[in-house]
Amino acid sequence: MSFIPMFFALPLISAFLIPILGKIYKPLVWIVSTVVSFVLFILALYGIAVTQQLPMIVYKMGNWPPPLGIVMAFDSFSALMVLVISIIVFAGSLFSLRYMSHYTGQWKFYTLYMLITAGMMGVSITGDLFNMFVFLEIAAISSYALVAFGVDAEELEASFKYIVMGEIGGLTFLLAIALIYAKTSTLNLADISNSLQVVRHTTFFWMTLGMMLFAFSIKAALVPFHSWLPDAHPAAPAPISSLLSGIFIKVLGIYTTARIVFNVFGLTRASDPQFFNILIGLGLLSISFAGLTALNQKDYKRLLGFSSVSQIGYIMLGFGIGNYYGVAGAIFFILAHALAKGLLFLTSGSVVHVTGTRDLDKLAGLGEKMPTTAWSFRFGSLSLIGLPPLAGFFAKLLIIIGAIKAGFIWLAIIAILLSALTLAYLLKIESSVFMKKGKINAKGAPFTMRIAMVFLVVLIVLVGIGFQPIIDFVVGPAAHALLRGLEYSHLVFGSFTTNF
Amino acid sequence: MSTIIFGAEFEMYYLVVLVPIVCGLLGYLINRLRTEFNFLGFLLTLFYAIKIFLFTRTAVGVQIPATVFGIDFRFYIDSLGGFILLFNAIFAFLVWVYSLKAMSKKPRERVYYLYIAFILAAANGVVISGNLIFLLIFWNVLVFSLYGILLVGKKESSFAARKAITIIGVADFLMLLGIVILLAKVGNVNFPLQPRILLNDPWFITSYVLIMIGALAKLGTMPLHTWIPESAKVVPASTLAYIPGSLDKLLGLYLLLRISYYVFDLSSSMTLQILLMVIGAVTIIFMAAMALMQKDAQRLLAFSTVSQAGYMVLGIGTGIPIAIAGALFHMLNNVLYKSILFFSVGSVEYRTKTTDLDSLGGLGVKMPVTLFSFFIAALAISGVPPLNGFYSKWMIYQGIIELSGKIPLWFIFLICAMFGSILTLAYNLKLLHSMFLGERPKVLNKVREARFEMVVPSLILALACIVFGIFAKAIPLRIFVLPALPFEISEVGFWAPGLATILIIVGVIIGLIVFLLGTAMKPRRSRVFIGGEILDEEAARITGPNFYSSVNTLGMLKKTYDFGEGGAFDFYNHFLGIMRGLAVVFKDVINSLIVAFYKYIGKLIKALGSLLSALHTGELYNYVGWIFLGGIIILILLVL
Repeated sequence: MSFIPMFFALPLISAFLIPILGKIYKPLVWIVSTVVSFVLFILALYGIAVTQQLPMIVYKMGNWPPPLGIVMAFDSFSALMVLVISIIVFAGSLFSLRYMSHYTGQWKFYTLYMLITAGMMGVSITGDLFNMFVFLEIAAISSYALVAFGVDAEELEASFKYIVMGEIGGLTFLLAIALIYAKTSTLNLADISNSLQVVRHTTFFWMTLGMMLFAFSIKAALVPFHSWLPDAHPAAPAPISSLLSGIFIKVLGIYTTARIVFNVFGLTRASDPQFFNILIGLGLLSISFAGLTALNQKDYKRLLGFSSVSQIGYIMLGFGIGNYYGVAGAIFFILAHALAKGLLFLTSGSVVHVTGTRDLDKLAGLGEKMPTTAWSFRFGSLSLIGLPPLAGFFAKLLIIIGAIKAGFIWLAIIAILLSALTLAYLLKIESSVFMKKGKINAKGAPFTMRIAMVFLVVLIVLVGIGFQPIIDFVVGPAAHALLRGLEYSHLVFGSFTTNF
Repeated sequence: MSTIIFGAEFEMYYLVVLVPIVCGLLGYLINRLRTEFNFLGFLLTLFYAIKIFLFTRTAVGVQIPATVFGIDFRFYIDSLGGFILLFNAIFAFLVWVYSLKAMSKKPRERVYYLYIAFILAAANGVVISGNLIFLLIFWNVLVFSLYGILLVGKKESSFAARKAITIIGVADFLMLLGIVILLAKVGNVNFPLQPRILLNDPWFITSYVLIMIGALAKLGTMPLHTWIPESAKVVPASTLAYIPGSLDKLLGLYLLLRISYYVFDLSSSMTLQILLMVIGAVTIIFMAAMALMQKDAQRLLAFSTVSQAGYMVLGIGTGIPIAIAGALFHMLNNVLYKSILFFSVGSVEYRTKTTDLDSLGGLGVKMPVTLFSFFIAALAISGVPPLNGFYSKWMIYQGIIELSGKIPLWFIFLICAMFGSILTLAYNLKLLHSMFLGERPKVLNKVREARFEMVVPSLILALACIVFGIFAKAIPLRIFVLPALPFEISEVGFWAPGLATILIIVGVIIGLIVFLLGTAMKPRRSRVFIGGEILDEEAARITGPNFYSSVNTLGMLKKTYDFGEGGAFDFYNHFLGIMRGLAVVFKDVINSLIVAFYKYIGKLIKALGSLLSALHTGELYNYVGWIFLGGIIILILLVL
């Protein structure tokens, strides 16, 4: 039995076991989801280890060879995504024990939580376009429900907007899949990439790519497709905000874009500079527009939401630069931003849990009352700002080096200048919530919440200090997997014999 | 000298960074043994710094432990670095000794020591860095530690800390930008760059100016100085002596020298030289004038450090070897006597709980040792021969005079520098008088000499001031300053019958004459009461020659005597009428321009932000409209 299907099978099975287990013994639901996410974390580490030896591991569902059956194609980039997903899911699950305790119907929450995990895992490892769509919708639909989980008016409205916009994206993706299927008669990514080379650079080619970029930009919440995110992410319960901002938008928006652009459509900066310039444009627009908007927010989580939009821009920028350093920087950024933003949303959760408000004007003086939360916030935001030696610094550094090596000095300069915005809006939270003197009744966050935050803080520091091995064994291979381009299909068809 | 050794001796390079961090952390965690750990840490750092200093006398050390993305994480230490490293360690040690009593029982004392250790580690890290990128990392650690240590103070210190980190943060971003440009253009920013970069390409000039801004922000010259006086109001004197007083000067000048003469070649651009000199001259004059107006001792000294930084920048800007050596020497001297001044004010504050000059006075009898070291420092900073401040200033003047013929209007810089000296003397006498001499308020009658631990660092430094002055050529110049520079400075002659010698003596004499005559010519007449009996006015008069005799006659007279308003300070009114005007102009016009600049940039960004957030109306059809608009644009761009 290969370990590949475990990534989505485990959460999927537990998603359907949880309602039953919840009937037997209520605390089991949390235990199951935490244990499963921890097992996924271990599996993901194993996956990283395995991909050191083998560039591509193919799992054939029902043993049907591609392109007849559905395959799972697991390479270094998938391994990295799976690892990041499992980290955030695990931290969120730990955090949920106390945070979700005052909600009713907890088994529903954990069922949806496992479903969204299964969906994201599936997207990251699938080798089939339609299968990707299915997993994407599993994750998306679970996320619609999770955003509305509190069933207050605000949450329902946010969720409704999110559904409408998310499905515009989802259905456009489906339309693009239909068009591609009509033209190439196949849904296997590797096979599509072979067939598409015949129609390379035709209107059809660009049209379908544009539709997918459109769909994924909505999922990734790039400006101007971002407007659902600042409503939806704050409305969700904190562990879900952390999951959505930390990894969800990256799997559904960024991973898919990168995979399709580099490995399926086989574009490189050398051959198609104008397409990559569009990515750079989208990135810059997001960074500046959302960064400026974040400055003016009064809601803790809404500010963080805009910050996510702005930071996603850096990832797009990295891919848009398109050389090794740019792509590796973008991938490192996925990792660093997931850790940092996941952590920041968890701190918002613990603040809301203790004080009951997320209005920055009302919050004050929590630095002394909640030291763990305050210091977690500081570590998270310093990493996000890019302070060495934390994780975020090396991500930004790689992107800037990429920009310089590609000859875009102006881009490096703009990227550095715009990171002043990050400093500005995060200082706003720091100064009003944690630094400002004020009387507010609060006690420290519960133990499991603190454990979850400290777990992420430790990872941020470790990734920062150990950036060299991270680049050598995790990020670098992932970047190479993307930059292999069309070789992807040879690897998928060529690795029949591997038995992993 | 130029041999590059990958030798065993230089392998302790990392210890000067590691030891303070480890000992600081241990001391922080194990509070009971804090003093012991700190003592060990600072002493060991000093030991290694001395070893490295001795090593750099004969060799240059280079180590490259790792290479990342083609950029060397490179350690480099030469004689300049060794010199700065040594004094980093010495001053950290002295500040620590001083803080033992000065900071005891103060709030947040524990974390204060942690920051001191971290700042030392980061400062040493800056000095042993072998290229600009590596340097920037330590530089940033320094900025954040600075933010932390500024928070250890009175309640309002968070405002000052925020102001400091805003100004320095912006300067750092600009510096990063400069380094990135350099990296892109040259691909290698190792020290020392061979051949040095000529400043004739717009990119290089931009890069130099941006990095220079970072160095000047650290030195604290105008217009990046405003956080120093701001924080002087709220943080303890030991912090002021440590950061803006010594380490910032050491590192700021270090970076300025490194980029001006090891990476770029400053002498290839006359415009940039003049720019630096103008910044220096303006800083000297305006900040000294501001210092004169202050009524708080710490704040006065803060302006004074800024003013002194002007001399260093002026010296570097001339590009004449002797003036550059003078700037480096002046930096060393300034660190010596400015630390004494800060320590003394801190000692006074420790005993009297105030630094307000209006409520101080006559402490000389009570605190004779403090008075002695303060007196030496005040004379040294004013450039009175034969103390050390005189020699370094004189070297800078020499350099400026050598510029005659190269730069039109060179004498303006000379006049600014000389005039600054006169003002320096004036405000130091004011400080001396209003703290130690003159009338003592009754509440201060029980004041005693400061603690032993607080007095000793000042005494050591005062001794150094005297020795460095009298044996300037034999000790500081020969051992520390001249070997640290890459120039051949043939002969530093003293008492040469040059223009400079005459001018400086004239300057000092004018200052003294104005000060003494001012008091003598226009005595303040006020009614004096002693238990209802009217005293002969003659007996109560404070005459010019007797100005200092009030020390002896203290206690004889009990006058109601408002210090700040007049009396002994009357001479300021006519001597400094113009200066007061200038100071007002500066405060109201230039300062408000700077403030407005910061404010409007902030407002502009805020307005943009609120405009953008107003776009987020929360209406679904609006949002869907954006989405489709964006989608259409993408498709058009791709398909066409």
